[in-house]
Amino acid sequence: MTTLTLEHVWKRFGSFEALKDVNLNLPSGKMITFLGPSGSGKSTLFRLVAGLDDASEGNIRFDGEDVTRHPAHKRNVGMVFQNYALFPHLNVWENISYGLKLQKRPKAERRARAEELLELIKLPHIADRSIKQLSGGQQQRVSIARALAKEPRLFLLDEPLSALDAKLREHMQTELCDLQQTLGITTIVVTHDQREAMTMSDVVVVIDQGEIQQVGSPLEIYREPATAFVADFVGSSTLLEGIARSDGTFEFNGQSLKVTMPDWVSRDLTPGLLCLRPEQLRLAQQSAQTQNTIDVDVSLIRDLGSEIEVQARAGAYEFLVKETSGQPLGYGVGDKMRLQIPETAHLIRA
Amino acid sequence: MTVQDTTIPRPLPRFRGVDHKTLILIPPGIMLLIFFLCPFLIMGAVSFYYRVPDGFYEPDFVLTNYAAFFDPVFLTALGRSLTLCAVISVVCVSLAMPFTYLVSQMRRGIQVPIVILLLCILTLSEVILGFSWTILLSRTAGASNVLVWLGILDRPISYYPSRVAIMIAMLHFCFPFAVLTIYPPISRFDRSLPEAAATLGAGPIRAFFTVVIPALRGTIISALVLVFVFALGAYLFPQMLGRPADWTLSVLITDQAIYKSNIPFAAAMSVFLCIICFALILGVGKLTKKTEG
Repeated sequence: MTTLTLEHVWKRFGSFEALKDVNLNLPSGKMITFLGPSGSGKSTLFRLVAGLDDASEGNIRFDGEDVTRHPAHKRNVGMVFQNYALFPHLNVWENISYGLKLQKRPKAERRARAEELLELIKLPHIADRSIKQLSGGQQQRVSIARALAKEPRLFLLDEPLSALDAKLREHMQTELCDLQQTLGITTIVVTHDQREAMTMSDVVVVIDQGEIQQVGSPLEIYREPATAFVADFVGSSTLLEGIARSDGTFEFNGQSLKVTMPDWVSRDLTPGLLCLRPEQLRLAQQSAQTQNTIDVDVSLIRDLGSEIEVQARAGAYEFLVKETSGQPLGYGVGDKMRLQIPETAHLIRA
Repeated sequence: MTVQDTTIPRPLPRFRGVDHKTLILIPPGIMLLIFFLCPFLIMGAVSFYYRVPDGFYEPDFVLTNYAAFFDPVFLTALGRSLTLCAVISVVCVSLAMPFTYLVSQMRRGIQVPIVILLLCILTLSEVILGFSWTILLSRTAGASNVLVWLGILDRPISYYPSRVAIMIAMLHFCFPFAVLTIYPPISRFDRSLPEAAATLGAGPIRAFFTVVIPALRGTIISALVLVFVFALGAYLFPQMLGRPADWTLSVLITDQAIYKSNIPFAAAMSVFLCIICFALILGVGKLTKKTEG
């Protein structure tokens, strides 16, 4: 159980700033994901935490202890590499107990620990196999067992599911969560897959362009995205550009929409972005007398069987609405409709 | 259709039922036969010929040339050659391994000039390298003059002929070959392996010895053999930089063949040298195959 704290961490490669003033305080015993597109700096941040790279500035603390200047081999972190990085010259149990051998633990103890871990990853009886005899999924499990052998302070996984096929990925996802819960170890997963981040983690750290965009639970990230980037990257959304007024209305395209104002709207005429998620939106006939609507043209209807995706357009904005499948829609492509905007729609600081 | 017609290679003409892949192998096969296998067979045959004392040789089938191997003079020369070459190959690869590993971790802009520099050494022939070292190790113009100038020595001395001089020149000669053998596998080497070792508690030096070296043992073994065989074949360096007592098998062969005109004995020694090299290469091939699964 380790809390991880980063204070004003910067990482520069020449003139390129890979991480810009990162501050993080992550709780212990939780499943944490670093989420971001490729090149966002998430992997850089991850490597700094592992100690594989040095921060250009700032401090990294495990449980308050400053480990910034500790190289990787003095941090006691367990890391699962993207390509597993199993040692080809050692067999399964020797791989798992490599760290214990460095500590000069007796062979019987190492062997016992390796077998205990093989039990944990549900691969008993493969202790004496060579690495080349294992499938990709098995290699990953062995690599997980190796990372856990020394009871590390942090358990780090770099894109753990990206190399697996779809079915195995889902299976591994739940298994990783179970494993994390049984061990109660602070776990950090790097991923670029927002669905993976949303389903696996307790805390999501969204990173873009070397900056932390938002830290929060998956639901917070989804429902109350802090920036336009988060709203766009996590799930689908339409962002309306407009101005928030102190009387509780959002002015958009000459229209006034009633919206619950967040605290940060302290003065009149604050520019903001209204984040609309597909499941919040409803389409109504033009005859219906509804407030808080935007006039739209239906541009595409796609029946996916489980639901119907409707695309509607208003000027340059495109909206996605989800309707239940199996019921008549009552409208078609090209119809003029009214899009109902809920008052609970989330407003983002522009 | 027309596009496809041009892209699919037409089957090459067959020659009396032999397909083209075999045909292509015929010219190099003939070359090998004439310039490699035939001389070797002739040498093999000559090694059983009878040497006419104070004369040349005549065709025969005698084993005296091979029996001469049990002469202590020959045995010590053999032992000396093998030890010298073994020491050179071990020292050479032990230097080349960390060197190449460090070079491969540098930026591309630094790696390329270093590799070019190594290739430059390869353009120098054994003769030029040998003469350069005779100058560098000499009393009149050699390195000892620098030591005198630095105040370490009282007066310049000559460092050759000596076994150490032979080794220095051979190392110089073999080092680029060792590096160039090791370089491709090392630059392809998975960097995450030492990183994984680091997260498991191994410092850089420990990771190098417990992960990098064992994971590259196939490469190391082939580099060792390459340098060993190379050193075994070198006959100019021991002659130029060593005393007759330091001469290796290759020099002895030259000596027997050219100066003592004992061609049958020289041939027998050559056959023996070839067998050692073959055995080594085959044995190592088997060994690396086994260790790499």
